[in-house]
Amino acid sequence: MRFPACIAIMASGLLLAPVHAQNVSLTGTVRPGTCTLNNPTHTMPAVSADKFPATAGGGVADSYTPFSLALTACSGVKGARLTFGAAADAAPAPSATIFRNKLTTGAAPNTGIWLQQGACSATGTTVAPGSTLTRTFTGTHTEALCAQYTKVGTGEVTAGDISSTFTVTVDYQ
Amino acid sequence: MSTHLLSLLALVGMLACGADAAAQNSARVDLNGSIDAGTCSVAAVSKTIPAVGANVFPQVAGNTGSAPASYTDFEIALTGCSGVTGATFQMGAVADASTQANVFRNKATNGAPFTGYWIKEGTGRCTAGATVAPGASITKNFTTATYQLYLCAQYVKIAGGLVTMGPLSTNFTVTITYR
Repeated sequence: MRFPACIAIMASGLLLAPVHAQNVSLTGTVRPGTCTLNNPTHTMPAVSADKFPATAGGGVADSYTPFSLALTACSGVKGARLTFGAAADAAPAPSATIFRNKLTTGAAPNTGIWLQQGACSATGTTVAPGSTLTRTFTGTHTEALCAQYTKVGTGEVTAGDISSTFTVTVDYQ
Repeated sequence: MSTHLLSLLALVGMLACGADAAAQNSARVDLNGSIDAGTCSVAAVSKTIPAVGANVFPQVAGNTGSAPASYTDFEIALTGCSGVTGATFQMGAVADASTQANVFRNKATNGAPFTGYWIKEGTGRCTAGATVAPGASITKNFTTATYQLYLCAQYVKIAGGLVTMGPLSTNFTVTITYR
């Protein structure tokens, strides 16, 4: 009697093992780096009251004081926005683009300080209180500026002192 | 007793092959089967890595370097495993890499330039873990119902330029094959 191999029982281990696909999501931020800033303090030349213009707005060439704001050792910085003081640093209207003389005693009346970008001139680009300059740079940046006396208001300029202090706020990119 | 046995054998022979050896036919029955590995439950991972300043990275274009302040531990947590003796985790794909093959690419739009994610595996986390390159597989054995794959992510600067401000983002699929 023959028993052919009629029944085959096969077990297969070839099916794929179970698999999960799971997502991993990571987010984050790189903030800009910073620079080292100088704190320039300058004493401007003394000039005679008669060097001031008769009407508000004109500068006084004898008082030209070039200086610069230096940003050094910048790391991770591709630029910055410089904000020069605030509106509260301005002289009364209509001289709101001039930094006011902040002395409360001994102040030269009807005077202020006219800040300009770049070299000193009679017709330079005004940097008004609260205004901003945006610069692109890496490593270091030198912002050349000039200060000069100017007449504000309608009264006469007479002897006295002039002083203004303001904060430059630097927002890095 | 012996008669019964002979009858039974004869019956089996008839059922399987037919009574007539001259007119033989056969019916092949294939029964296939397998025992699959069990599975686990696994949750998606979404992590926000702490922001750092661009100044913490090397300030030389060609250099690379990571940001310890960004070390962020996370886990791929398997729970409810049954019938599982281990798993292989494939961590994303080669296409998830930056220009540096062992760094996951920053996929953010307008992302912080020359940055990526460096992912490490093991209880040593970011300080002493083993680098997980995109597309690499990690095989682990485990026998309990839960398992945690310990990972850590950190920002890293890749060569080619300086790091400046911007967002980072990456995502990749972990393919888990159970045994």
